Amino acid sequence: MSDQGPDLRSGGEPEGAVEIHEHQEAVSRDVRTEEMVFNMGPQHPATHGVLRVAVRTDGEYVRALQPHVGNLHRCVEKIGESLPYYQWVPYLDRMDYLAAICNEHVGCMAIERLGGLEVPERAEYIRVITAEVQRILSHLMAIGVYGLDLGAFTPFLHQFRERERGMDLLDHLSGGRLLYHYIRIGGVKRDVSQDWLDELEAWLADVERRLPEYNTLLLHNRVFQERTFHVGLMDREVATRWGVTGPALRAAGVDWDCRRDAPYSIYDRFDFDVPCGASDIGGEVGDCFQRHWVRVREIEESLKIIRQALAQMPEGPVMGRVPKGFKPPAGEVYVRGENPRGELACYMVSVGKSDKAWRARCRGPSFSNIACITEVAEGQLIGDLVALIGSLDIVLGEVDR
Amino acid sequence: MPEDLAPADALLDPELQQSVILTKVQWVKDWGRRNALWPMAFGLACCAMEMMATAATKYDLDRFGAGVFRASPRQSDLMIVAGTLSHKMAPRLKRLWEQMPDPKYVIAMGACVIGGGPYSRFGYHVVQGVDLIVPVDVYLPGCPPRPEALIDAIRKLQFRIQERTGESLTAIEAKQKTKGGGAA
Amino acid sequence: MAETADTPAAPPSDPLTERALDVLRTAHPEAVVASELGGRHPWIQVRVEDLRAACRLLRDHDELRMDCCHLISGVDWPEAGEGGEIEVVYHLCSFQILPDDAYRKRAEKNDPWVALKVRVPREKPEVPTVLDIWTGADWHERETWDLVGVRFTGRRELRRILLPDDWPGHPLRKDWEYPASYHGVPIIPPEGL
Repeated sequence: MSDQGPDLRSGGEPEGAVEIHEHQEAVSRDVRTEEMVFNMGPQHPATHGVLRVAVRTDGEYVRALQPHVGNLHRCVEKIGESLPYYQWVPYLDRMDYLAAICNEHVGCMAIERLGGLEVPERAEYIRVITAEVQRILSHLMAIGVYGLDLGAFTPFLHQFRERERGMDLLDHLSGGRLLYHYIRIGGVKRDVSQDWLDELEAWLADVERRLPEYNTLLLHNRVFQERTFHVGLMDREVATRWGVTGPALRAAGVDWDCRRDAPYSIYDRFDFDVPCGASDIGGEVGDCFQRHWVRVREIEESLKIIRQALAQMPEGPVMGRVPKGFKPPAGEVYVRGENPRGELACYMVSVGKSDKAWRARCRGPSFSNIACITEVAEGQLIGDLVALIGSLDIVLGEVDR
Repeated sequence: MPEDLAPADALLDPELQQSVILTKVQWVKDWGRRNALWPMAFGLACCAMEMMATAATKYDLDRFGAGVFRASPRQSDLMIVAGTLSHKMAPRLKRLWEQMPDPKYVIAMGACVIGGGPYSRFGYHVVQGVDLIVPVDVYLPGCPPRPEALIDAIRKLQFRIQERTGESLTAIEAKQKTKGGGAA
Repeated sequence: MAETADTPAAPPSDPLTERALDVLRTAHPEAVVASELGGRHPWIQVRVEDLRAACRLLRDHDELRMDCCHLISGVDWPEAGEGGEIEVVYHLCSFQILPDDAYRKRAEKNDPWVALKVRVPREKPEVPTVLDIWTGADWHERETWDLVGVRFTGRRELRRILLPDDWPGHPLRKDWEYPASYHGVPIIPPEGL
């Protein structure tokens, strides 16, 4: 175990342990180790894609590190300038491929605000419901894969059971398992049926029932806790300075959620809590454990939002009036939305009289979230680097766009 | 024991057939090879999520003897190129492929690695097909392909490994069908 | 959803940007070049040489406390000015709950951020860095250099971030042309398909 942080073993230390610690300290003081530079990635199972991290180590400790990104740069912004607005929307799916619906939602909101389009009430509700389903799916994935990163294979298999069913739900709605292109400019593609809503209710109940099971496997697991307590500390000053958003920001103790504090779409109609890191949860504010805890809690909050939305959902059309050959007037918009990984923002510039954007800029939350590891990982153990990167839950498609 | 295992069975008398198998060494090697594919855990983009789903609970790639995802190219013989290949990544992919021991196989999973996919037109940084970098055995279309499709691609590759005679896949499949039930 | 239509003749001005403008005007009367307070996207344009002072002021001011640099974007305008201009837009926001919440409750978009713009000539696109004000600006600046070709001065190494180091040109410039190949791997230009 790491020699940092307070001792977590409950029973106190056995006789003679102090001497051993002193001895170890003397050894680590005296032995001069050589610095070594090595690469982690781009092909590495714990980097969640094609991230490459160059690490300078001193013994087991990280002295400095530099993430190298861009291995998945797919030119989304150039394509946004080259294709008409409605053709650009599916590319947003592929940016953060674990939160396709949320991306579409923000992108379509930006384009709609640019063109002054109205979205029907029912479509807004369907958008929120599907976006929250997507958030649950994404967090399930994040939780399961985080266990995988830390060497626990079982939770991954458990969460994939629920995840597959959730993906089937969106599959029935849109025809795609992973990337949907379901939210369109002006509304959504198809109305939901009563069968689908029943199926959704059943799934929500199942997720709720299974959550304690996942928590037994990870959150309340001693091994997991010892692996994540006091690891990868990021306090609120560091988090805001680096522009970190999403669960990582909230775990650092910043009480900020776009859905509540800058409500977009119809999020102001729902009552939900924003889980934040606190000292009574376990671990320390802003460590890997609290980031994991925030995700688990957010699943519960998403369940709440979906249930409220289902109760309130009105009847009506799901597609607004979108003029053929949609050409928004000249202007700019900046739209933010809370994705599972943080704040996605779209900055769109239109010069008018054109069906293409002049500039389509996206802020991927993972891009800012991963940048901060240069500072946060310093002084950590190499083994904890995996825990840190996993807890930030990055998606490289969004880092590199 | 697979039904099609012993082409020389006819030479034996019925009693010996119970205990002796006559076959070619090459056939046995291929048989082992195709049923123990070790893919490299190498995800580039969206398709990698479907690759993970294929290996996970519902689809369970282990049933086809191809579920042992290895973290190192040196331990694997199948590279599933899942996702978009960029120009920055291309040399690294080539190197990974070179590090894999022979015989090695490549499945090009998804539209992007087949020919640039949705990024082929304006995506300046996307390689227009992974076959410009490494040779490909099976092309698997879709954006992203469904797990069933990936399983199908792996089955096709397994047929191909077994029957390296230059026959077309459809001919091999037809033959498998007439023998009843397939080979795996 | 109350989407903004084009119809209102005088769009209500945005209280947060208005306040930011007041603060900037008081401290640096010369700095502000232009501004737009109403509409969907209120913004303040400052002189390039005053950018750092303006950013520092917005970050440290007690009422604004813009502690996060949300996004830096470069926009190429080849037709503007003499020989074209490049606009660099800084979207700043605050994660702190302010004592007076009035600035948050925007009449129109209910989304608290301030957009700060600078314009530099296309020939010599040099903008002072804000890296020491917000550490998170680091990668955004590198990306803007990579894709739009804005040179941020006064910071540590400004390397490309997304594209390889030897990539030709800056793809989001409007006059950028698709190269024929990169290290022997062909790149098919859009017209070729």
